[in-house]
Amino acid sequence: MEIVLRGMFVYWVASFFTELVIVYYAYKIVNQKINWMKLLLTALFIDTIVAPTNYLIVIFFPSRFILSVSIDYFVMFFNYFVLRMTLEKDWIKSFIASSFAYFIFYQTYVATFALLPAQYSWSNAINQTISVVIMLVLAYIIGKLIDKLHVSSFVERCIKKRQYSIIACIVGFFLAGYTHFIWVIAPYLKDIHITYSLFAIIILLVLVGLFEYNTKNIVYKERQNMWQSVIEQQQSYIQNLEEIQKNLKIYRHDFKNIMSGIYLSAKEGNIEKVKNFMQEMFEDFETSIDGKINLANQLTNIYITEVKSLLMLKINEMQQHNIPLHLEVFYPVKDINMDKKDLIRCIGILLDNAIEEAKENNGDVVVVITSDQNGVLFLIENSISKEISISNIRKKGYSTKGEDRGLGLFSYQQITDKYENITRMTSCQHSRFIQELRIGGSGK
Amino acid sequence: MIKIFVCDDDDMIRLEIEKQINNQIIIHEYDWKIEVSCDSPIFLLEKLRVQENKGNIYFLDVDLKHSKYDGFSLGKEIREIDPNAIISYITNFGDLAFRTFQYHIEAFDYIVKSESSKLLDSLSRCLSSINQKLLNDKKDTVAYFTCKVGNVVKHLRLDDIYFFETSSKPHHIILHAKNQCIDFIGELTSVEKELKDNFLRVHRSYLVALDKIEEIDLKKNQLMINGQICDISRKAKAILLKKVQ
Repeated sequence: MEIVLRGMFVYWVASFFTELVIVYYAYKIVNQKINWMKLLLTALFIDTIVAPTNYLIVIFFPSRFILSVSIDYFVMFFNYFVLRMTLEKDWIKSFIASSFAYFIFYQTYVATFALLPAQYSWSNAINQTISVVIMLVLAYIIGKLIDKLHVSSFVERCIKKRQYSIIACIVGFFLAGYTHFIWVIAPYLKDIHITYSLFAIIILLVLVGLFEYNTKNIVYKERQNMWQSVIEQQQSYIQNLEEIQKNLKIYRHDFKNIMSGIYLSAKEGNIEKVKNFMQEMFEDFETSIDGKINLANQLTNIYITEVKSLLMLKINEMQQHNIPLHLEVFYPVKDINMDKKDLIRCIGILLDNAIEEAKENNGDVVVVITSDQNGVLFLIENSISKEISISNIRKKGYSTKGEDRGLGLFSYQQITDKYENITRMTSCQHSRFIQELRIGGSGK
Repeated sequence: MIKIFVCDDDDMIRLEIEKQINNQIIIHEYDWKIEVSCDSPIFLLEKLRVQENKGNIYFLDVDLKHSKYDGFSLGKEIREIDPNAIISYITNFGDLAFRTFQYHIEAFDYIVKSESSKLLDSLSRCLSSINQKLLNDKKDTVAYFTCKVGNVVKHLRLDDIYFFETSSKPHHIILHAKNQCIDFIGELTSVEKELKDNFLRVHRSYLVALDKIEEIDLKKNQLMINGQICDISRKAKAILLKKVQ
């Protein structure tokens, strides 16, 4: 009895580290920032449930194929269950993460066999220590590799298509228990540990190759998309410049006429007429060219490509619908202390709402972006036709436009709630609806 | 007597503005006086620092050609020294980011200097609305709540505030007011200390304005305010009932 308990304890301690590695891999696969406290506790919890169960079953019913397969799958599913609760809410994503994490862990673990003394026995404390240390080192290296190969973006892609996600789940499921499938040919092999290790290393290498190939593809495609958007951006910029050019041409023509008018009036000594001519000139300039030049000037102050592209896109949309826009970017905006994807989503939601409302009431939109040493402020304002209930706006699904709407602002809040350096403000006064988003931290 | 400060490095424009302001003061019998009219922001700040009376009127050029200050940063500095300053800007047409100025410096108005006829027009309009504002401020004795959002100070009429709520983010407070919802950084306890009278901490996470409460549900330990539901803690319940009755 005492031996069993001691063995169980050693096993429990050792498998704590294996759990640690599994959870660590899972974090890496879904590319979440590692919270060590949470990681340790998760591993401890899983280990405390799983390890004694495993140990007892193996002690009392050794070498039963079906049983050992089901133990493995029990461990994997338990991992999946806990990770689903603590790490990743999307169930497909967390299944892929936990099954692959389990598989990669198994490879790491088995690979350590190649480096261990021959008399390996898993209830021996010294052996376990060596094994654990080797495994942790390997896990660290493989973790880095997972980052480097952008496995998370691969998973992201998988779950976007239903077919892929199902395939990934099935592959993950089989890989997680693959060691048992080699066992079938085990009797024909001389040294099962060496075979395991070799297999493990080979499969790991194959996976690395696969990911490497895939990432290259993905990186290539992303780069292509980026160039595409840069080109589109340039095009709309050129279009803008051409329009200014065209207006300048017209203005030049008018300018000559007005100048000769001024000249004649001056010659006559008619100051009043000269004044009127000049007044006309000023107004003409203001309406035909100044506004456009101003807009282009404001945009040059934005140095974050993603934000600039988004604004250009929305400016085009507003021009198409003849929505007047007043844009102010008074100081250069270079750095924003927020994930770019989140930022784009937030600004996109606010702009879309403003545009939609302005479209409906033939109103206008104002966008003010200021950057200073305290951070960056986005102010997005539009005219409204009817009062909006500010208190309801934070609720999911609230919309002035009926059912199935209002998710935009809800996800805007969810995203901004993730950031401690963000403060928001909503106000609705004098028929203007204003949303402010302030992102603290590094500014200029 | 309220003092006026003018800063523009274009001599012609500055003299014109000075002249027009003096004319307007005589015509409308404003109790104002131009204290400083200069081309250097440093000089203006020096003069301002030795002033005892604050709440002055300022006219600043947006495009100051100075190594350290442009109109924006000068306005910010003035706002810090003189929190109740009334700051207006002088600008060429088109190039002014007025909303930015309004937001960060609480700029009052702007004057277009491109033509003298327009300048006179917008200057006299600006002066008369400053006068109106000063008269209103004198009458206006309502209490305000101020909070800092980033580097901007927001003023809200106490009377417009419904309740404060702690956010899911640590040290963030959400202020629910009439037509407004502001998220700022602070502690509910210190807000509670600042506000006392009409406000009661009904729960660890809620500080509500007593006169705005619409309904109290004693069974569920909740209250309704501006259509929103706040929890009531057991400890606060007795105090709340006493205060409401």
